[in-house]
Amino acid sequence: MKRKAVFVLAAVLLLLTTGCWNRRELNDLAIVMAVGIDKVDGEYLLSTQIVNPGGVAASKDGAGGTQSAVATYSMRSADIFEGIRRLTTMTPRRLYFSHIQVLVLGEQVAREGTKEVLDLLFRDHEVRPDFYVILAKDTSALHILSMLDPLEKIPATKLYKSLETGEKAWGSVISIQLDEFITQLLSEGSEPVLVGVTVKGKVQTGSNGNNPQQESVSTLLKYEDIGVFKEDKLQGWFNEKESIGFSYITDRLDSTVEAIPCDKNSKLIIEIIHSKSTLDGRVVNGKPQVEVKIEAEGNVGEVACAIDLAKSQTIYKLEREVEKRIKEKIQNVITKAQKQFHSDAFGFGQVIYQNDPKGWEKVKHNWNEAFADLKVKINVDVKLRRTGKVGNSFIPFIKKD
Amino acid sequence: MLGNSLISARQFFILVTLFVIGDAVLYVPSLTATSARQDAWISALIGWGEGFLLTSLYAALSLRHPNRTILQYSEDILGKWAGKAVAFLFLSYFFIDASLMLMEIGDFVTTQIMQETPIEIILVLFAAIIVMGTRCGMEPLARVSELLFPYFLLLFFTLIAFIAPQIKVDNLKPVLAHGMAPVFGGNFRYMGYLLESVVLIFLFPLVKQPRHAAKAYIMGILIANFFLTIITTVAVLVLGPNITVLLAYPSYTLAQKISVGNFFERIEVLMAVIWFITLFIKITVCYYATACGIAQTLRLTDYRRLTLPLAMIMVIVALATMPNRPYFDNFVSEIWMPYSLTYGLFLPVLLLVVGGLRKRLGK
Repeated sequence: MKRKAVFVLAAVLLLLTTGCWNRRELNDLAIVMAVGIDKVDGEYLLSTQIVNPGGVAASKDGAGGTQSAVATYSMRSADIFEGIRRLTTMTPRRLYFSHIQVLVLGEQVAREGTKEVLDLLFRDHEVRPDFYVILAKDTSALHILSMLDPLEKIPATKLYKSLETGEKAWGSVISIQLDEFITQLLSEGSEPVLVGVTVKGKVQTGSNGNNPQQESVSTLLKYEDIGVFKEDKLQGWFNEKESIGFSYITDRLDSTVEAIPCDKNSKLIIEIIHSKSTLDGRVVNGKPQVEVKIEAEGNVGEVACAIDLAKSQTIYKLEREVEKRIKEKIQNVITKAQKQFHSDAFGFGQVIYQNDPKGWEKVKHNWNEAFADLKVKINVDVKLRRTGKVGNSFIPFIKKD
Repeated sequence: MLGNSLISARQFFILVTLFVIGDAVLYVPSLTATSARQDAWISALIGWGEGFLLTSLYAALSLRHPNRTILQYSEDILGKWAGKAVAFLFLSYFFIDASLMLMEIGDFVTTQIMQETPIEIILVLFAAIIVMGTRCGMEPLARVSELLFPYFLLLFFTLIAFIAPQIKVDNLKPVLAHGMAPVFGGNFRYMGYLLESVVLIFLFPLVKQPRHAAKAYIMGILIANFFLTIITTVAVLVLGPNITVLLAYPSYTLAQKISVGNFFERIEVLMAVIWFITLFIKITVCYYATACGIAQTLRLTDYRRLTLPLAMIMVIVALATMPNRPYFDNFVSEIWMPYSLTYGLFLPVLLLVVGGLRKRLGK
C-alpha cells in the first residue's frame, strides 16, 4: 500500500515539476549580439542587434544567403531599461541578453557621461560580464551596428573579433570589458579609457544589404584611436601612435611594428614580438615620481635599404633607434594626457598608491594638478634577436645597368 | 535517541569541512573585502587561528562529556531548568541558521539564475531534499558527504585553475596600507561564519572515537579555512577589491568570467554545484541538529516525526527573514557575528567554566 502511494506521488511530482517555471524556448528568443546606446535630444536611442539564425546558417543551395543574418532594432526612450522593454513592441520575440559581445556607446553619450547607462548592464542577471565596451567615434552607435562586413555575417562578431586580433597584432586597439571600465572608474588615481570605432568610407552605402557581395567594399568599420575619460565623461582621443604608446605603458601590447628610417627614402621595419612594462611610483620629498620601464624584444621584419645586418654592431645601433622611437611615443602620449586632457588614463596614481600608500595620502587630494606636472622617467630596453629567414636584404645586390 | 548511528572520524572531518565552507564560499569574498579591501585575504588568514581556537574549545568541551550531546550536558551542568533554557537557545540558533541558509539558496537562484521563478518553489524543493536526508539519519548523510567531497574538490579546483589566467597580482597591492583595523573589520564578519561550526558539536558524540573526532574537528575547520582563503584571495586578484565589494555573489561572477580558448566558458551553473553541495550539507546538519535536539530535550521517542512540520516552519521563517536584500546584507554584516558569538563562544565557555567549577567543588 505504502509503495503504491509513493509511486503515485512520484508520478504526480514527475508531471508537475518537469521543466522550468520560466522556461524560454530557443525559438522564442531574440538573441542580442550587440547593444548600442546613443543620446538624441536628451533621450537615449537604444539599438539592439539581433541575430537571425536562418540567415547565419549556410545552406547548401545557397538559400541562406538571401536572408540578412541580423536585424537591428532601435527605440528612443528616457531610460535604458524602459527602452529595452519598449523594444518588445517592435520585436517579435523577447530580447535575450546573455550573448552580448559588444556594447557600443555613441560619442555623445560618452561626452555627457556614461555612468547612468552602465548600471543596468552591470546589475541585470541576464547580462554576463564578458562583453567589450567600445565607443562610436564621430558617428552614432546605431550607424556602427548597421554596417555589414564581407567576412563576418554578424557585425557584432566582426567588432568582437577584429578587436581581439587588432589588440594582439598592432597594439593601437585595446579591449576593455565592462567590469574593467567600472574598476577604472572606481579606483583612485586612474581614469578609464575605451577604444573607438569609426566608419571608413561613405556611410550611406554601408548599411545596404548588398554591401558584402560587392567586390570592393566602399565602407568598413575600423578601430581607431583610444578615447580618454575623465571620470565618466569622454575628454578626447589618443591618435594611433599615441594609442600604441598607451598600450606600451599599460602593458597591453603583445606585438606591433616600429619603423626606422635608414637612409633618405627607405625604411627598416622592426617587429616587436613581446613587450613587458613595469611601473613604479613613489612620492619623494612631497613630489610624486613615476618610472616606466619597458622591456621589449623584437626581430628585424622588413629591410628596404643597404644596411649590413651581418654585424652585431648594426643590431645594437638598431636597438638604440627602436628604443628612441618607443620612448618618443610614450613621452608624446603622456604629455598629451597631462596637458590636453588632465586625465590620468595610465593609472599612475594607482601605481603610487600600490607602491607607496603613505605617500599617496599626501598627494591624492590634488592629484589632478600633481598629475599635470608629474615627472615620468622612461626606460626602454629593446633586444633584437633575429633577422628573419635572410641576413642582409637582397635590395643592395640588385644588378645595376 | 540519535538513531544509534555512528560515524567515523574521517566522515566527521569531511562534514566539518563542507559545513564550514557552506554558504561562506558565496559571501565571504565581498564581506571581508567591504572593510579590508585588497587585504581581505589577511582577514581570512586570521580566521585560521580563530578556527583552531574555537574548535579546540568545542572539542575540549565534548571530550569532557563523552556520549552526551551539548543539550544533555548543559542540563547536567546548569541544572534542569537553566539547562533546558540553554538547550532551547541552542536549538533556536540551529533552526534560525538552517532557515537563513535555505533563504540564501532561494535568493541565489532567484537573483542569478531563475529570476521569475517564485522563491517559494525553490525553498520547498530544497527543503524536501533536506527532510529526506534528515529522515535517513546521520550515518547515510555522512556517507553522502563522503561521496560528494571529491566532486566538490574537482569543481572547486576547476574553478580556480581556469580563472587563474585572469589573475592580476597588482590587485593585492598595497598590502596593509591602512593598518590592521580594516583587516579586523573584515575578519569580524568572517568569524561569524566560523562560529557557526558550533552546530557540529551536536554530532560529536556520534563519532566512534572521540580522540580522533577532536582532531577531525580541528583539521576540518583548518581545511575549510584553506578553501575560503583561496576563494577570497582569487576573487580579489581577478575582480579587484572595488568590484568584489559591489557584487552580491562574487564567486558566481568568477565562474562567469571563466573563458578558455573561446569554447570552455559559460560553465557558471556547473560551478554553482559547489555551493549546492556545501549548502546542502550545512543546512541538513543544522536541520538534523534541530530535529534531534528537540526530540532529545522533550524526551520524544523519534525525531523523524518532527521533520515534516519543522520543515514547513523553516520555509516560512526563511521567507520572513528577508523582506528585502539590503535588510539581509545588513543582518549578515552587522548582526550575525555578535549573535553567533553568544552561541559559538559565550555559551560553550560558560558550560566549560561552570562544569569545571562544579567538578572541583564536587570533590
